[in-house]
Amino acid sequence: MTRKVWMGLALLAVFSLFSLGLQEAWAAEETVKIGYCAPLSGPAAAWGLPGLEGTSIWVDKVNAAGGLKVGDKTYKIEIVKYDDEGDGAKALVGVKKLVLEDKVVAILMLGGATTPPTQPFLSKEKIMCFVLIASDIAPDRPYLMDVTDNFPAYHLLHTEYIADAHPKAKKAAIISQDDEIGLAAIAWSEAGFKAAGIDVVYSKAFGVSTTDFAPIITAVLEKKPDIISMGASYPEFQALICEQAYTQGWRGIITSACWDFGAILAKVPKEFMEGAVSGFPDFDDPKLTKDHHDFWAEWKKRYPDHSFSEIVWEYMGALDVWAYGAQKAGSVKSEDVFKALKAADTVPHSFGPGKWFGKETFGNDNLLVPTWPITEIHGGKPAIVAYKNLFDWLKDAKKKQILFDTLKAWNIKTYQ
Amino acid sequence: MALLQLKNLGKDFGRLVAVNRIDLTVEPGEIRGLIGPNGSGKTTIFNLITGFIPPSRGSVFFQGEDITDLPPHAVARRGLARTFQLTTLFKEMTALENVVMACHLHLRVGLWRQFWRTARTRRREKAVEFRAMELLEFMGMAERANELAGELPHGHQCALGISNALATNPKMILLDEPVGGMNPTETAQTMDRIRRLRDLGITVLLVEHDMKAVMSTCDRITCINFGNKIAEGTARDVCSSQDVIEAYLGGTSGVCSL
Amino acid sequence: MEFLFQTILNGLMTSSFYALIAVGLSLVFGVMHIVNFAHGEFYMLGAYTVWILFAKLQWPFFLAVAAAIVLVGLLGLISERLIFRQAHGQVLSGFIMSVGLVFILQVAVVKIWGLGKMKPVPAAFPEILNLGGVSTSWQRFIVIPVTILLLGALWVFLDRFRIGRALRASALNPDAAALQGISPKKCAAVAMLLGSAMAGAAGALMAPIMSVHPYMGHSVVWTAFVVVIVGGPGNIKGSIYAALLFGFLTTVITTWIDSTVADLVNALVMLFLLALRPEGVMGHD
Ligand SMILES: Nc1ncnc2c1ncn2[C@@H]1O[C@H](COP(=O)(O)OP(=O)(O)OP(=O)(O)O)[C@@H](O)[C@H]1O
Ligand SMILES: [Mg+2]
Repeated sequence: MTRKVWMGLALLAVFSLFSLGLQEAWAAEETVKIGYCAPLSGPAAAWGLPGLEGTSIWVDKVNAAGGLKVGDKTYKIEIVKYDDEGDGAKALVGVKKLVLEDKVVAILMLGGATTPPTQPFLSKEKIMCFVLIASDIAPDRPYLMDVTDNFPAYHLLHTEYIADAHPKAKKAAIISQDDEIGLAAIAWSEAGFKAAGIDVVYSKAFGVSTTDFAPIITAVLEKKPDIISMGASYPEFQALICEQAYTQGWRGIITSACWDFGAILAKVPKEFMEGAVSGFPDFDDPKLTKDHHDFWAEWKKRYPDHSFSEIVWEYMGALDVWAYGAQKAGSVKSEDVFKALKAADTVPHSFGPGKWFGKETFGNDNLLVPTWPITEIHGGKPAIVAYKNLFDWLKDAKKKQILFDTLKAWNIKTYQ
Repeated sequence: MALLQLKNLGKDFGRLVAVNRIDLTVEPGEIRGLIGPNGSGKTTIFNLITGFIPPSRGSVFFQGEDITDLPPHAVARRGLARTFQLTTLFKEMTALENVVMACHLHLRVGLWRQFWRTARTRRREKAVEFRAMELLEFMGMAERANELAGELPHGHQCALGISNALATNPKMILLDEPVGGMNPTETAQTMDRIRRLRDLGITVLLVEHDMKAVMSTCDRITCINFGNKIAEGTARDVCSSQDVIEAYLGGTSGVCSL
Repeated sequence: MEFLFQTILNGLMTSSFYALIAVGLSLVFGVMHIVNFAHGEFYMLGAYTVWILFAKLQWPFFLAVAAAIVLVGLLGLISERLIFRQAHGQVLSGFIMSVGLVFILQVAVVKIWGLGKMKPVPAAFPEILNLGGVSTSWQRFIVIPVTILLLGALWVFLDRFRIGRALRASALNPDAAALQGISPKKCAAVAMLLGSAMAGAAGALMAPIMSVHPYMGHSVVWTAFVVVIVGGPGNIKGSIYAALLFGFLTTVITTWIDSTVADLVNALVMLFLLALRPEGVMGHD
């Protein structure tokens, strides 16, 4: 008898909890959820964790203003995060949970290793997935897009800038780790240098488990390069590469997809990095807009001792684009937003109006390409020194041919 | 006072009673034989005495002190040395190095002197080497001093094991089949040396299957079977014990073929 | 010519590092018969100690290194007491316990100091050292003499001091050592203290040279295992020779081909040498 009473009470408790949950869902009807499935711990955390800083600033701002007006409704935004530790299997669990349980309408991801296992599910569910790695774009991943980071395409612009600014620099060496990202960086950089008339005297990938760069740099310096490109070397490698180049006596122009400056300047003097070329300005750069400066001020206020990297704003940049699409579509439904975005002639990117690109290189026009800033390091801080546009670069048929030949030589699939 | 005393000592391995309840008293200066058919529990008794395995019951007293729960190294430090049936040596070292190492570990020199190798330390090291050589000579191993211990024939390994045990300056030594693998001449020599140990004031507890050797060397003999003591006394007493004869029937024919 | 000298210098540097990390591991294995997977984490903690004391609290570099040696050594001692002693010299359970310790230490470090980016440790001696046309930083160069110093100190300890000799005896044959009155527990504790201290020293010296993050011990421990296995587990001299072999092999192959091939060749050389001489290149001492 008592057992039955207990069972009944337990059932009642479970049921009431359930209905409470339902009620909550009802009350929060005007909230739209966006998934954030990225490495928040593990070795790749540096590529995921800082993104939460930008997105939370964005969400707070939108919600404080009452929400996002889409059609005749106003939605509060909620970010639902999931730590995939940069691992494919965990990411798949994560996206399933986000889509099926949390009912998110779009997902922000890092891309790379977590893309192949998650895309079949996300494409089937027609959930938009914003990644930071353009080379993840593929014909069978219609809803995957990169609307912020132009890696690896911007290597073409960096190299062109170096050729413009340093006419005496004739020999370049390129190194990066031998994973998909590193190899793409090497291939695109090599194409860029060749197209700009610079000899590539060394271009080779190193193992991701490399801890000692002395022998690699010795081999690189044997070729007497004027320029060393670190491709898309992970932050932890960059400092070690710079340190070796410096201590083995090399002086010249360094370029890289992005920087981890704190780490590099712990190893080498500021002067060594003077004039180094990349494409990620700090958001307090005088050449940027008031929006950027406001964001910088807010970010500095919230995280006074964090260091700034593109990761801080790139996940947030995807939210901007998604919001633009939703407002244009008058709906938050994934497919509607997607269609609205693709139908737009230009879409506002953080660096200005962007156009869709990628059909020939990735098999799908899902990369948003704005006019991209070029930065040089001065006094240990990046400063915008030029703007370049990928579409301009591609107008030269000869250069374009070099690009596709080089990609082919590195076994990178193209869709020309 | 007895030097070594086992009270009610026993060991079970699961359901197997390897040693049941043994009482044994060894007087100082004695050579005591411990015999029994294969698997009767002799080695187990040694392991219990020297702390290599914990007993299931009973206790061990050495010089009146309860050493039942002491670990092997602590037992060794109290002057109770042993050898193993299958020898336990530093196989990668030469015979001499073995004994030198063993002697060294008992050399008390201040830390500072250990580091700086003062003249005195060096003198003492010379003395250690000299003593090691003496011990090897005592065991008839002098001409093999520079051979690797692991490559010596089994008989010599046994002898080296005894030298190592002696290096600790023991008051008592437990020998587990010290003449196993030796030819009759070597056996006779080793037995003679064991008798000389007694003359040096070292008490001996000897496990041996070579009955002739045991009977001619030991002052008193204890015989066990299935972990129980079945006879104790002089060689003659033990030989005439009906239990002993039965225990060995089918085994080694004629225990007392003296 | 310069190229050759630079490669030799690189090779010496790498070998010193390998020797430092492998000798400690070998010592622990030799005495305790424990394959200590957490050796890499001890190395990592040595690096973290330098990051905190030297990079953040501005202690003098060598004082920070000394502190790392002492602290990590003590941590080794504690883990012997609390964890490895329960393994009773059984290789498998010791190994599993050490893997457990790997996770405990990694998680602890992540929880305390966070993941994120690597911890930047500035060079204490950033001055460039020019040796007849080849150059390196003093920071890297000092690894060589400091390694020689530490290994020399270890040798003196094992050769002259009674407790050092006891350690060697216990490594060769714990039962025989016990018969000589040597406490295996005491030896295990001392071995763990010294072995971990060496790992701590390696991590401390490498902190300004390599990247400091919670998982830095992983790649290092694998290399250390290769070196120890080839040198003959428990054989310290063998570990030093094997460290020289692999230090130069890795350097030369990385310079001429690449680091992935170097890892592959290292593994192949290890398998080949093992097939040839299962007890290690050196055989027995
Ligand atoms: N560690 C152990 N675990 C289980 N059983 C054991 C163990 N050691 C010994 N035994 C068993 O205990 C019994 C006594 O063994 P012990 O080695 O003491 O005999 P012994 O008298 O020395 O024999 P032998 O004359 O052959 O050396 C045997 O049955 C043996 O199988
Ligand atoms: Mg036996």
